[in-house]
Amino acid sequence: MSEALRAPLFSLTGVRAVFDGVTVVSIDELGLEEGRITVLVGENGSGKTTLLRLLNRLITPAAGTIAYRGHELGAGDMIRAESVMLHQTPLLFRGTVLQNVAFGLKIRGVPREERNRRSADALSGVGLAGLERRRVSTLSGGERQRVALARALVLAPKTLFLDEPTASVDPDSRVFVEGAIHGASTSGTTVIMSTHSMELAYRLCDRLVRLEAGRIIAPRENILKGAVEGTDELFTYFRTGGVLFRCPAREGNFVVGVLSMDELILSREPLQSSARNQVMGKVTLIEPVDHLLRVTVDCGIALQALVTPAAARELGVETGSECVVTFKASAVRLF
Amino acid sequence: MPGIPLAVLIALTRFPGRRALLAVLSSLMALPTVVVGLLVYSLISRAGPLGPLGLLFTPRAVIIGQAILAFPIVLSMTASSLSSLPPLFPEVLTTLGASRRRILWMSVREARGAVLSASLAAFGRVVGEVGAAMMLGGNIRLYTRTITTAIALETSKGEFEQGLALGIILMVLALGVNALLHWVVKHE
Repeated sequence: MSEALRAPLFSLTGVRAVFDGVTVVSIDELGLEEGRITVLVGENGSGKTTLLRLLNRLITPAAGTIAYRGHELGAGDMIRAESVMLHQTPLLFRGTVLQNVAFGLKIRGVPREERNRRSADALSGVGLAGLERRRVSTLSGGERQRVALARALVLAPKTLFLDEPTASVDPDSRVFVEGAIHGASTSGTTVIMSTHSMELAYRLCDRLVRLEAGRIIAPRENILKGAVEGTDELFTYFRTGGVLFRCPAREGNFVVGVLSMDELILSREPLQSSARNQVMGKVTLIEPVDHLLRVTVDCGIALQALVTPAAARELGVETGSECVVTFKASAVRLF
Repeated sequence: MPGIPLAVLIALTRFPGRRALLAVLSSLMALPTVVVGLLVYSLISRAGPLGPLGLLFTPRAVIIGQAILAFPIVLSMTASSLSSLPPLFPEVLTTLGASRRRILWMSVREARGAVLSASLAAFGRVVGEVGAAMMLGGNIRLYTRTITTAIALETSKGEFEQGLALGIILMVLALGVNALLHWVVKHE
């Protein structure tokens, strides 16, 4: 596919960010694709916010280069014109909701009528239609964050940076924030966001980037987009690609199944076991990851399993070989 | 008035000696008015460096003296109110695409209550002071006589009623200006 050939929107090479002599971000190589949702996850202090700020050129790296559309980021750059960032704590200006939402349009010289129309659209996009005249001092925390999001989305940015967009919001607002982010992505905006909420991360991400002490660590889970096909008293059936998984029975509008790579068992023959899921596939890739091997098996969908080199040798896993992937229903977490 | 933009610059930029400058400014707020009067007097008196401009005992001289009194108040109070804006404030504006000038303007707008208080404090100091107005204006009737210098004069003449009446007018004036500006901010 052309996907692999297309140059990434952002490419980072040897990037280091240092605060007070401490390296807080250290990334050897990272490319972020245009038009997708990239979610940064990790503990507090893992460098998520710093990475967002680096990409947004709010700070400059101590070493290394960050290229945006193939050009190294510099002062007065197109990144500023093409992107907006939503901060973790929503900071609104004094005045009305409309004054806030329309701010970016106003300084871009958009005429008042169009400004008001687009602001109204943006507000209904975050579930706050008709709130234009409200003063921001009367809004709840969740509403403030949604107004801040509308203020960013109204500019129809090419790239949207979000720092913990649901950290300070109530569950109701969370639904709107998620919907609005999804909507922006559908209309072509590249979204790069950080979050603590693994649920939000799994549901939204096209790609999950996990940070630990400023470094990117290898993914440890299969994130499989799909839909629930049905639920009986025993299982919820989740379809992803051409494969149907059995998962613990649970009601909900789930859109993603998460399957830890540690919980997949590879075998040559089908196993007699309590595990409720078993699929046949062909090994397409074997890569070393932290003293282990990550084996990619094509079973209609690509599943990745971590195995020890010794186990792989014993099993005779090699590219092109047939194998059976087994996992328990309870290993599948639905979000 | 020029104090406000200057204060914005001091509040939102970082340069060596910034703290020292702010400290000097806030101590200048307590500058005795007669000292300002004396300094300006020595500058603009006939023998002073600006003597040839003939400013002494003119309304212009009074204005210069009062501006010097007002300046540190506006500057230091505005700067401190802007410093108390959330540190993220300029960054949020930047990411929304605001220019540097726009950020300065929005900062003043955001802190307008405090900026207003600064102006009021300066107004209060200026409208109520005698020393500089007397020394620089000379208390000339219908020319450089201010309400405060008039009160001082009437009192020393023994015309207490006249002085008291003027004092009431002065207080009403000060209260009125205060009330008006507060009303403007509230209804903006």
